[in-house]
Amino acid sequence: MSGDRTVKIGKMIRIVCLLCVAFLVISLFGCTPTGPEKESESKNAEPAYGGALKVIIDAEPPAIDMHVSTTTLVYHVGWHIFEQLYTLNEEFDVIPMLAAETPEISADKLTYSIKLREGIQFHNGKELTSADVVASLERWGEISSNGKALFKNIDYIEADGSYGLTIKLTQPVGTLLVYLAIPNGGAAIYPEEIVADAGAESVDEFIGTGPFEFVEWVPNQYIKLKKNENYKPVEFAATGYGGAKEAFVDELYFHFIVDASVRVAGVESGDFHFADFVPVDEYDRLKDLPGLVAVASQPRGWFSVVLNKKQGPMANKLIRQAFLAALDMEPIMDAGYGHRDFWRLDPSIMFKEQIWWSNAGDELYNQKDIERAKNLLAEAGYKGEPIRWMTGPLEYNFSLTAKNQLEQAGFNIDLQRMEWATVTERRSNSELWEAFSTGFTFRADPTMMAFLRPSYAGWWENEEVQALLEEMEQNDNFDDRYAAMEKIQEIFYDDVPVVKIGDYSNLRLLGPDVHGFMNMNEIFFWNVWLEE
Amino acid sequence: MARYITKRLLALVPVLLIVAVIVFVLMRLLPGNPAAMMLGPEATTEEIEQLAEQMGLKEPILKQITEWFRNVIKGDLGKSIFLRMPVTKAIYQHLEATLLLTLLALVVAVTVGISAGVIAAAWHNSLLDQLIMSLSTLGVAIPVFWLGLMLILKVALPSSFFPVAGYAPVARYGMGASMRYLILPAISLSAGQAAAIARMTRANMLEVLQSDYVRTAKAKGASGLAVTFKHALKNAIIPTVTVIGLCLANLMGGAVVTEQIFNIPGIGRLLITAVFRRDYPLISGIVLYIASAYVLINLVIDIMYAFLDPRIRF
Repeated sequence: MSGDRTVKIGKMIRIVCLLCVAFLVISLFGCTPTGPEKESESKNAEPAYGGALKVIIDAEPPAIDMHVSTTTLVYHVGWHIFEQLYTLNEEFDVIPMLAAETPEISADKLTYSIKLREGIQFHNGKELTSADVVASLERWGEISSNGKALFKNIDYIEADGSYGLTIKLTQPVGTLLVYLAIPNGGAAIYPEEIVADAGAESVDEFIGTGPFEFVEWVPNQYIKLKKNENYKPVEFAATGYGGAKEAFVDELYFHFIVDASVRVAGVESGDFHFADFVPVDEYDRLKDLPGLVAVASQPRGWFSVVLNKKQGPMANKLIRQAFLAALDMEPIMDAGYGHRDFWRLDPSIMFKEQIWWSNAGDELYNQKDIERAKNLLAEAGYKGEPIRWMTGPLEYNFSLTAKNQLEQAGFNIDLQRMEWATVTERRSNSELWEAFSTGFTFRADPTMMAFLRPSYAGWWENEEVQALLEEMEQNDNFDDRYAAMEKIQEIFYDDVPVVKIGDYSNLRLLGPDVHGFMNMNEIFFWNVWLEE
Repeated sequence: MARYITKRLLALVPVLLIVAVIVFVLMRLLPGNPAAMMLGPEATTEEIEQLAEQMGLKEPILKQITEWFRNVIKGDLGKSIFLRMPVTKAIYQHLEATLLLTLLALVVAVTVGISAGVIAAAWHNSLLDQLIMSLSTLGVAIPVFWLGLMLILKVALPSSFFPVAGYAPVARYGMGASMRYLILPAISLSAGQAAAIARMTRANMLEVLQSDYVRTAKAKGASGLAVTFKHALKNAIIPTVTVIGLCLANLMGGAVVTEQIFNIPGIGRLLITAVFRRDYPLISGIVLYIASAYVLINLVIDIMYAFLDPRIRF
């Protein structure tokens, strides 16, 4: 070793170590804290303006373009920016949004004339006209699942002057307005020129008419919106997802935080104002914390097991009935969803909060009848063929509890846990599975429940149901439609295409200075203000 | 030396090629596709098929991979499906957080690790030595995610100084703010590495302290401290450089778990999100980047050896 060189290296190492220590010291003490105010006791009844509202959602949405995806997160962000012709009020009835009023409908129910509100501006300053609406609806009809379902029966849509619109149908559609109003895969209205070159992939520019404007999307971090200063609210009071909207805050952030405990800590520490999908196990602790508000949402959806009606043992109706008969829903929901305030047992395929609720067939819901299940299996000639049951991580606990019950009845269950992307891929191949767990989220109209479509994984091709659905789609008389819905639900319990387990809500956490939040089943932040 | 470096750089090409092909094929063997993730849970089979068709996912895999390679050679890693921006831009956007977190974690690991190792070796078999070694065993054993969550719950939550999660880009908020976001993640990330470096340093120090030249130095009357720090440390530190290099290479790929827990928008988190969504071009791009970083850092470490230890010649 050359002495000189070693001394040099020694010096170098000493300098590096010193630098490291200096760096650590500087980074620890060299910056002044600007922590958020954590205590605010006074409650403001008068809305206040200004501030930045920071919301935490549980994942990054795959898009903001509402036409592209039915994923909840897409419209949770999107509907602050975009609006639709119609939307839903507190009772989930259709109310006008960009449309001036309910449409005029011809006697043969084939022609709808819709008037637009005048003087509405897009965020780019352009005025909203019927050309934008026509272009948006046509794209929506081409690429969104709801749009496609409606456009089956649409002959054409055309502009009628600058603020008028004619929709011509090939046969009556009782749910036309509901289709235009629902937010999931919603018929959002974009400027014509943005729609023109978008195609089926997401639009690149997010220009709408909503109370908030898009500012930036920082991948893996947040989406930032700002108040739309030129927003023109409707003339009637806020109700449900519509009525008069106002952006009280200057900026609205949607941060994506996947880890649930970090979402909680974020609101607890005051760094954020709102968190969705907080673990319900935390409820008892959080509801007693001063200043924080922990609330259960309205029911978001219901847990279910979809059965494969195309091939394998589950194609046998008796075996499906045995599956339903064996289950005791209470311990299953308990395992899957924990705290009692966040789930309930209910037989209906539509929610209690909706005009569609029905208890048709409820004698077959939650039977807990192992003996009956055994008899049905014997009758079906079931020989212990494996039931391959796919479940994502979210539904694993409830599926495991159900598996134990089913095994008591003599089922041979092969429960396969996988990530959600794998479930969605495999479920479209009928050779790979007999059952999979999923959730069905809130729908404004029974005809929009995904599992009723024969093309949905599980392939329920029941002619009677399809005829009833067709009748419901064409008829706009509520009583007739309700009767058809009840009939469908009876068949649902007899034929068992899907097993309903129970309704679930989720836990939301609000910081002390958030006011005006409407705790419905979906989240939105217009009309929400921050205390100064 | 120049020839050696050129040779090593050329060797990078087949490595990256193999990595790229493996990742490309593996990702497509995995079930799940971006079309299904885009459309949401209640989409029908036909809708998913239709979108997959439009995205070009139905093309034969050989055609897809040759197409991709043709673009990569031109320096175009393609466009991310979900972020709708070039992959290179997405990686660049997420690089800052990962680099700063890595450097900070490395500084913590090296400072703590080397000091602890040297102290343990200098007072070999004392209570202090045993304490440091027990702590380092603990450091290696503690899962990163648990330590991260504990730091959030016990440190960040009660204090107004540390944010619980997120990141503040330097350009917009300044270095101070960035550091406030990164210190806790860096601590949780570096615990295991610091422990490894401490053990390594201690072992090397003990070996060196028993060597002839140290005995000679002591015989000539040099003080214990002078021997430890002036004579022994320099030689003991060389193998530790390897560990540091490996740490750095590991961290360069983005500290996946730590970034996920502390919600730091770095390369690791970008990769996880991309995998869950099956954002193929983005996954391939990130893996290529990580592989290159790994190989290049190893090369730098090897070259540093020649400088640190004159006996090594290439």
